[in-house]
Amino acid sequence: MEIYINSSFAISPYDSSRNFIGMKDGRFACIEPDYDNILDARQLRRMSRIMKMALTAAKKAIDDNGNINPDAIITATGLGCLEDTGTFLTKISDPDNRMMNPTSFIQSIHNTMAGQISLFLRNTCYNNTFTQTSLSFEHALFDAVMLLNEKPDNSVLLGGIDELTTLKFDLAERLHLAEKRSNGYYGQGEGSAFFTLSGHKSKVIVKEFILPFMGDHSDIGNYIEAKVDTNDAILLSGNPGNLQDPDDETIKQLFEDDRIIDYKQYCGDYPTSSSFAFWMANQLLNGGIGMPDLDSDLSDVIIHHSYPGNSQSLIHLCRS
Amino acid sequence: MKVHVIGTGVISALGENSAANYHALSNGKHGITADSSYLDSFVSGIPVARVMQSNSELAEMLTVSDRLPRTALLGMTAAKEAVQPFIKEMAGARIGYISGTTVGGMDLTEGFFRQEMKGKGSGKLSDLIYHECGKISNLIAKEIGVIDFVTTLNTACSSSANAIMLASRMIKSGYLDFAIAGGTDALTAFTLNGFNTLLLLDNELCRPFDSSRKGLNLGEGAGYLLLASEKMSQKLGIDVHAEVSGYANASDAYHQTALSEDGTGPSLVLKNALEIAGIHPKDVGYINLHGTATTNNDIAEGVAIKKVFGDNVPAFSSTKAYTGHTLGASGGIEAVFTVQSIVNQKSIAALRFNTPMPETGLIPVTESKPLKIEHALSNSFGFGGNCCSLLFSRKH
Amino acid sequence: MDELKTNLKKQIVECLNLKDVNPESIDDNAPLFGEGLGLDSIDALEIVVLLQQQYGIKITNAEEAKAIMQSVASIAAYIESHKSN
Repeated sequence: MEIYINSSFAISPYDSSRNFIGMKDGRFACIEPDYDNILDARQLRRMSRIMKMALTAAKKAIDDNGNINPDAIITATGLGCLEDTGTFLTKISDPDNRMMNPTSFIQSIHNTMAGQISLFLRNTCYNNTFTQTSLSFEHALFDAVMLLNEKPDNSVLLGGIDELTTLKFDLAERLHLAEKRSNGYYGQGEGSAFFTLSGHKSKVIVKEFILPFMGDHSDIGNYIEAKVDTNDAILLSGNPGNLQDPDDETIKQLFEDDRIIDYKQYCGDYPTSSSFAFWMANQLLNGGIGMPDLDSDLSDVIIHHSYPGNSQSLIHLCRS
Repeated sequence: MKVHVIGTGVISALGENSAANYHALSNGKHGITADSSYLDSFVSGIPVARVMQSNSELAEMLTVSDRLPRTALLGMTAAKEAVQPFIKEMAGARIGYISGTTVGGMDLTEGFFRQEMKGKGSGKLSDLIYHECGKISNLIAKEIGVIDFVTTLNTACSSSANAIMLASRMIKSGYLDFAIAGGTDALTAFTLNGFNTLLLLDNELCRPFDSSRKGLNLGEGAGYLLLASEKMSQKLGIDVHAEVSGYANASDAYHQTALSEDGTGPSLVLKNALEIAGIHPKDVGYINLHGTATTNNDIAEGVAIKKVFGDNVPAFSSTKAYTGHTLGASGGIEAVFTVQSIVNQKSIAALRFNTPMPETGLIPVTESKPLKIEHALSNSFGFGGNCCSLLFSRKH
Repeated sequence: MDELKTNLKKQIVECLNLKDVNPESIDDNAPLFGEGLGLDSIDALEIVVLLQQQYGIKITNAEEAKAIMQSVASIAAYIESHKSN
């Protein structure tokens, strides 16, 4: 069956309306809305930042889909709730301060977002959270598509969320990223992007996705050559900053230079950044709203998310 | 396409393989014998169910580095047991490794943080590289080899039950021929302190479904099922332990850490798992409970069981009285136990049960005795209201 | 005792991030959970940490916590009676 993107909403470091990117010294930060206007005070008082970003994006995506309560909630997060995890870890590691708050433990768990969304929507349906490093969002998308094939009348809320904290930024810089940054690495990022998917027709189809297990990596290039007219397509490449990556280069060679966007220059590098690319692709195919100038005959977007020497994936979205 | 269980692997405080675990279960011998202070000197006197082997002993058995996170070492041990007998036959097929975990490489991360407290910059950064849950799965999948698809779920204490459900759906939909599905979690200071701040730990041995219960005991371990499509198990002429005949996931949508008192989520998954399989409640012979022994869980689960089964409640027990609550591993470990109860046509005795909860009056099976089990359920519920129930059926 | 109650109210509002609540408006005897202030069981656990931090009171049992935390007055009474220990 054809699966469509019915609505989407992203909180990201990129403001497409004024072409502004929230990035300083290699640290991308989401441009966040005023949550007081979106969520009520009682809901907000205990919520961590990642939770506010997730719930807001989920709520907006659902609102834009006629407020239909979904039949499944599937989220993806590579690193989970880092702020609360860091807070709790710091406290248990400090022999002089053993006062630990239960809230930070409760909210450190990866499925906090999916659970809170179900609570907020009073939604008792299927609820799952994927955490497979840079393939987390792809696997959540895979589950969503499998679910819609099992139950064609359903609609699915799908989201990718990761947060960047000061602690994580500092540790990753110490680990290896400071050095990488001098070689063109864009920087660490974060974001929350949510979508509703179903069989109900809309402008954008989730045409295909290729994950490594469905074949070897050469399948991705072969697929593009066989199925995509690259003159009418855009490639959203997940290279985190012109780094050497033979897999990435192989795919880029199939497109003219002006049809390639390195999407991580807008959102930074984070495990579920392909959910930002998924949002960007949907925006592009819906008429390029607030996006870099593009011709109107754009029919296909290919998202290629590769990590040098690690995982690879392709997502193909097209106009219906 | 039917989904068959063709192998099992488990490590817990009861022992290092499926046979040792089942031996302890059959003899009513629990493994909640360690004192929590070895994890964190500030939290002492709380019983925990610790896997007997140290990291270096596990690493030696596996012939891998002992610098790996404990969650990975436990997972490798159980996953290898499940897959080893068939590894040759499986060559060339599409094989998935689908795992649940909640702590990932937290034990090493804790070591890093403790070191950093002594002086910023003194922590070993290499201790952080396996922090991500997905990295644990990658380590285990690489150790097994021949894996085409790896993914990880973290839905708190229902993680590995959801992994088995996802793997079964993938086989059913034709994406995979075989799957190693379950989960792994090591005991950590992080979870010990976490459950301690929630006042959910009993400082005595836990008493699931007993009116005197005060909370849970934490445990650690890993448990995996080796699943095969019916087509593959027939083609290879493999002995089938049981069939995964039903599964369901639902959200309780009530509270961040507690279940609704009317057991909304738990009764939904029990009902839906039976419905998928087309099984009548009266045909279920045994339920392996989530049964954490917290006040809240046992009431919600008990109420849900009464709702779904009415006056025909099957034999049931909680094996957390043996293994402790192994969090992200519990769904996998308990799926193995549920399959073993079907294979052996025997109940697993509830431990330390004296007085039924006044709210439900339910009485678990307290003997290990021959029992006709055509179908058996395994329940797993997690924070965030995440509920999952798996239904296994006997193969004739 | 009155000063203790006033402090408790301020500490509870701050600790639980109750932005829309004026500490002075909390009645000494009003129930904190359910109807009254509308707090839930996670708030109760946070108050357990608060009491340990500010008053050195250790509560390890959920049932005990429930009994102590009926109202600001009942918490204050508990603190008073455990002060000398």
